Amino acid sequence: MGSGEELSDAEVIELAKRDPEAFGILYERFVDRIYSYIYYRVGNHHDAEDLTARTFQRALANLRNFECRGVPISAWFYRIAHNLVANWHRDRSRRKVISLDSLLALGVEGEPPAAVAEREAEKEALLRAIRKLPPERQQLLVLKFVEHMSNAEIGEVMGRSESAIKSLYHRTLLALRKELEDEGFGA
Amino acid sequence: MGFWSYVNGWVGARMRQDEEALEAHAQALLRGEQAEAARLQGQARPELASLMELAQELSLVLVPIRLSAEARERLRARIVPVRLSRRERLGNAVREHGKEAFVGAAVLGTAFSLGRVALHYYRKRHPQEGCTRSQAAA
Repeated sequence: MGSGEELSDAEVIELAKRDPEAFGILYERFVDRIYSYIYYRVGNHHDAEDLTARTFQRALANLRNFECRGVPISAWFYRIAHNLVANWHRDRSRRKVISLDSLLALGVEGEPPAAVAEREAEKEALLRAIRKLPPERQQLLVLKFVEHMSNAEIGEVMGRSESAIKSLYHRTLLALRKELEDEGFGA
Repeated sequence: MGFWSYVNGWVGARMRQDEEALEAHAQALLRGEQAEAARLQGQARPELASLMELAQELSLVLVPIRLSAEARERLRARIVPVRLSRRERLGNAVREHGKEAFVGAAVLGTAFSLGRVALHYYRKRHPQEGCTRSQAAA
């Protein structure tokens, strides 16, 4: 099987329905995006990896039932990932796991340790505040800032109109600012 | 009534204006146009400018993550099926369709048994319309 770079996502889906090995092409195209999405929602690499694997496994299992109806394939993957993350949060609501290990370890060389520590504390507070937002608002922020999706694309993933996404973004920023203020970090 | 509808209209218009300004600012950030983002933030009233500042922080913190080659392969091994031999595929097909065949046979068997029981009682109640096995023997 070739790399399949010349095929559209819809064509790869049709191919993978007949030959599951072709699913590897979709995996290569979407794995980083799905992993990033899940990572920012769960906050640690171990669970992000596990949920990413489960997202693709579920997609593969349901491939035969998938029909392209003008919605991007990525929207399908994000929906599966979103549901799995929601289940993960529900299952783990009894205990908090926020490990911002490698993300926070990215300091700038030559910067004084105190400044690095302060910046990391702010970053940690921001990520913590994001994870306190309702799931759909977290989803919006990740799709917008990590995936650089347009409001129309986000709308397709979340099943909302473009103007509703614009409005949700405004409300999300307001909620996030309040959350940070409550934690003592003024925006 | 007129006053409140005027107030509501004004609030709604202002909110939409804020949403548009925030969106323009976010798009500038996502395109990497820091100067344009700073210009929009400078023009905004303080309340809105603080939201734009927060958006700027978000754009710095929420960055795409690229999996290492090792992690990518580890995940791939869990997800993507390997090409199966003809024998394995045949085994899978038997397992998959064998289950369907078993369920089908069970449904048919149950239906057949129920039919037999129903026929038995029907003949018992209406002996003149047919004869039972014992009558036939007699």
